Amino acid sequence: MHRKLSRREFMRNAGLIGTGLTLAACAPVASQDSMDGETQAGNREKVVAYVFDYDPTGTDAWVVADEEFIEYFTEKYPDYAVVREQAPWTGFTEKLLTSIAGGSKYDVIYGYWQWLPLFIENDVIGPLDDLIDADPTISADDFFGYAKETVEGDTYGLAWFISGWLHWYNLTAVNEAGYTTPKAMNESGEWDYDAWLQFAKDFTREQDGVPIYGYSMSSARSVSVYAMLAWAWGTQQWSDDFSASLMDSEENIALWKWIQQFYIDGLTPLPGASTPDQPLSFTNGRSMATMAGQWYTRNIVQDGAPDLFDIGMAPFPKGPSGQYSVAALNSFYFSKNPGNVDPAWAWYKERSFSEAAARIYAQIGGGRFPSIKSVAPATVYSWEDTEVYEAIRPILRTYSTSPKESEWITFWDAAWDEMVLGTRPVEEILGQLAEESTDLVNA
Amino acid sequence: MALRAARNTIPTRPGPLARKEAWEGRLYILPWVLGFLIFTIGPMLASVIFSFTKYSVLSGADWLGLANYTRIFGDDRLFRLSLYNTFYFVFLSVPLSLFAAFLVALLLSVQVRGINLYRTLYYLPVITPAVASALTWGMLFSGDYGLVNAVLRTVGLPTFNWLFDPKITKLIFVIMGFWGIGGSVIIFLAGLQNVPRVLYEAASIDGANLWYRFRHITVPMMTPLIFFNLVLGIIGTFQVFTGAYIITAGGPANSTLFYVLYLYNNAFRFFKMGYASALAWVLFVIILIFTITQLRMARLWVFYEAER
Amino acid sequence: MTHTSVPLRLAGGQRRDAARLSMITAARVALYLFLSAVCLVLLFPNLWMLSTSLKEPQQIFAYPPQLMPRPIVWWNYVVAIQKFPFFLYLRNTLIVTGLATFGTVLSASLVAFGFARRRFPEREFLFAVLLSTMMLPGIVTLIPTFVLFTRLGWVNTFLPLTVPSFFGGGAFYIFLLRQFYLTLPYDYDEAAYIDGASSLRVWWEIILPFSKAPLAAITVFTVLSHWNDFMGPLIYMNKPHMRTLALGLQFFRDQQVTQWNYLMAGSTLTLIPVLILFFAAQRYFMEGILLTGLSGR
Repeated sequence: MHRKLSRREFMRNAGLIGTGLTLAACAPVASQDSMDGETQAGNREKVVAYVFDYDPTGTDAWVVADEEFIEYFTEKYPDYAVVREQAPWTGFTEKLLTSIAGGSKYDVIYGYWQWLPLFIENDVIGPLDDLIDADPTISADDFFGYAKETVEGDTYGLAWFISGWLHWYNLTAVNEAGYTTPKAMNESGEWDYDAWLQFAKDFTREQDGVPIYGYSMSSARSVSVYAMLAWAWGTQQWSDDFSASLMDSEENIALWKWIQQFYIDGLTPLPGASTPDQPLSFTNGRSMATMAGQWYTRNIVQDGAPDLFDIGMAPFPKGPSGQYSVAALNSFYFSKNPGNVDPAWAWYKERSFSEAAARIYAQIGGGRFPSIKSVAPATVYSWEDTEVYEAIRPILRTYSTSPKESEWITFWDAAWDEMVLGTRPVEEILGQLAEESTDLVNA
Repeated sequence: MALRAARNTIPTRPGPLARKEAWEGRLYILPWVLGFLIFTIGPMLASVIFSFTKYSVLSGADWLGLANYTRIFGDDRLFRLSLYNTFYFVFLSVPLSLFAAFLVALLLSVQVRGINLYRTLYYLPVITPAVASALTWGMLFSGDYGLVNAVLRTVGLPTFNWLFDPKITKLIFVIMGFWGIGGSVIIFLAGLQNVPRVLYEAASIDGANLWYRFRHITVPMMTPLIFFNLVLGIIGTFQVFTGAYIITAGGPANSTLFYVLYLYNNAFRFFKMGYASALAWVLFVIILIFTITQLRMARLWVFYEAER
Repeated sequence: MTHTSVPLRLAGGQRRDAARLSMITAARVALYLFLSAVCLVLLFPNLWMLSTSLKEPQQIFAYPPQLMPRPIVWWNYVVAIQKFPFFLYLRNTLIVTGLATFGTVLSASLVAFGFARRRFPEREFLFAVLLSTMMLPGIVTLIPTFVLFTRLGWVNTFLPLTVPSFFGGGAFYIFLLRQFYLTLPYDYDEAAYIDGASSLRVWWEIILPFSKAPLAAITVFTVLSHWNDFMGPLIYMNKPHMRTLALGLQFFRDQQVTQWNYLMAGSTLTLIPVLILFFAAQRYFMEGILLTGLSGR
């Protein structure tokens, strides 16, 4: 008897909770619809642009910058309204693809270089050249050549954030060893690939039974970073028209063998030796130097490295064919058929390359280079070396995305792993990679 | 159809009653049937159609006919590799996890002081968000200074670079699978409580020992749930994804490129939703074959109280 | 609930001599030791998570790894809940999880009753269809499902995350309950039917009371799957004020930087309600047939 009662009571309570939750679920939806989220679309007179954007919630400086920028934009363009749909980086693609499949049309999309060829192929985005020509306030000459994401001569993205790639080293350790800094070597012209390898050898040691590495090479696995090394060695990954892979070229084979030395001789942490989330292992003092873009200043601060040792910076060394730094671009893309061109373009250009945006977004950190020539590289932290930033400016070059970039990268990664593991001769690995890559772009 | 033999063991009843029972049965499952028709069948059929097309999601689809399927069974090396990786993982992980879960459930069913706390703690890893545990695997299995290697070094055994040795990485995922057995443990625990005590008591009076009672009462009474966990284990393990996605991204050298990871790459990295859908339906058929085989074999070893 | 050990008591019989008693004690100690050892290994990820949530940034990836945070930074928790509207997201999570769980437990137990204890010609076929819905990776139905809910006008509401739960709640739960229902003896149903009881009453009076353990189990499973679901809220909620906790946690990672200390603090806070629920629910896992009065036959 008692059992039955308590069960009924349980069911009644459950029912009550269920009803309450249903009401709670319906109420906010009805009341908030009129507000239209956090956008400024309240006024119906305004001309609206639709933007798919990254959601920086959680990164305080970025949230502040976004707010400041929206304030600036609203003031300057009182007739325009911008509706932004935002997603965190995890799940960004899923959100974008489902939204587009569901019928959403975006005038401006937060871009990602691996998508570029796919977006163009599917008519999602269009070139910016005509818009720039038609806009009296700007001219194509205002922009650095390396700031453009171009495909077959057309410009599809003008970066709002350019990060040049650098060497980062543990300045404290270098000074303690009485070693010439890479920066000084660069100034005296001695900073080449032999000096790089020697540096790695000289700083690799063991401490309390745990290896300390001279150089963390893991980022070279990234195709765009590798491209920079290839340029210095006088080769590239693809023929100019992307019809054939050049990965089995003599220079590429020589360069992979050069990189392989770091792994064979234990100068660099093996993948998996460090934690998966700390692949560079520089900020905890386990590697004496590494390579990264200027965005790395944010990681350095996040990991608290400046409290542990001084940070040194230097450009990449001279290779047999020259000295380069790859420019990592963060661009927005522009719809091929925007709903309202004027507000969309106003948003695009203000957000991407206005002096206001350069000033406001500088606070995110990461030593960002704006696209326009009139604005100097931004710095936030006292230890950032502006001399080095200026030194890499003339050697910046943009990586070109191949037609099947993201798919190709999976072949590339597998080949790279084999090189690191040393399972087969480099010639054989690269021969297969070249063949697979050429087949892929011609399929 | 697979269950027909089991069904035939149920004594048939007179007509009108049986008809009433049949209509009631249909009524009870109606919510699911409706849900299936409204929410499930449409998207499933859509993905069948996608599988015959080139579909990037960004724009319309182009009809390809059987081309996706001929490519899968033709020259797609990564399809074969990911299928091999997945089979390897399923055949190791499913039986080991099932055995471990059953063992743990038996131990946790013992009524001793503080056991409630243990039960909660054993479930804790399942509640933990994947990103949080992913960080820990690095700390455990890191080649240089991971705890596992530290222990091995102390006892004088050889160490490995666990997360970057293609011969070992799949085994690491099998081991990590043990942290996820909490769900199966709960199901077994719940089942162990439903074994009527009278059976144990009767056997006890007959002088049966612990092992005999386990072998002839506990195990037979648990077979429906062992069956459940086996079927679900196989369905779920064939679709293993998260760990490989977060921790190894399929590497090194594609050694943890599991089937659904390859499928995901096609869908959301290469924007080849058509090809991904074809891959999904191939996997569907594979899992279906395994499940039907299990349903058939279930007659031989699964004991249902209600179907005497 | 008694604290005598069931299998051990059975093994011991009438406890005739001290030797047997000490054997039981030894067995118990061994059991505790074994459980604790396994526990320690199993809990390592959680320990690490907790420790990271209390660390200063430079200690997180220090080497050799340090389990003990020094100093202990409780402040991380305060910051973590301020990085996004934690309590608003908690409320949303509670609404979604509560509704979905209610719908699942209710409808899955009815559907499973139909599959397990009512006979009809289409039963095996439909059951096979039910199972087959689990065999297609959700990745390829994500897009069409989203399009479906867009057509229904449900995007930006909690409906896509809750309403489907009222239609059986998913094959997993139905299958699980069916398996349990099949283990229950038929005698009581038969007796009730002979007394003229309706099948709904049999479900309510006989099946449900004997199924507290599995019902508690699917409650925990449903809560967990909705609590930690990140993809659903991500694609169906465009408005920031409708996000859930699992989605909020993603904001501690951006393209380059992960704020591990805050991510772990947020994860720990998110985990606590589920942990409490589990601790409360597990009482029912231990309530079998014996305690619900079936033994007196």
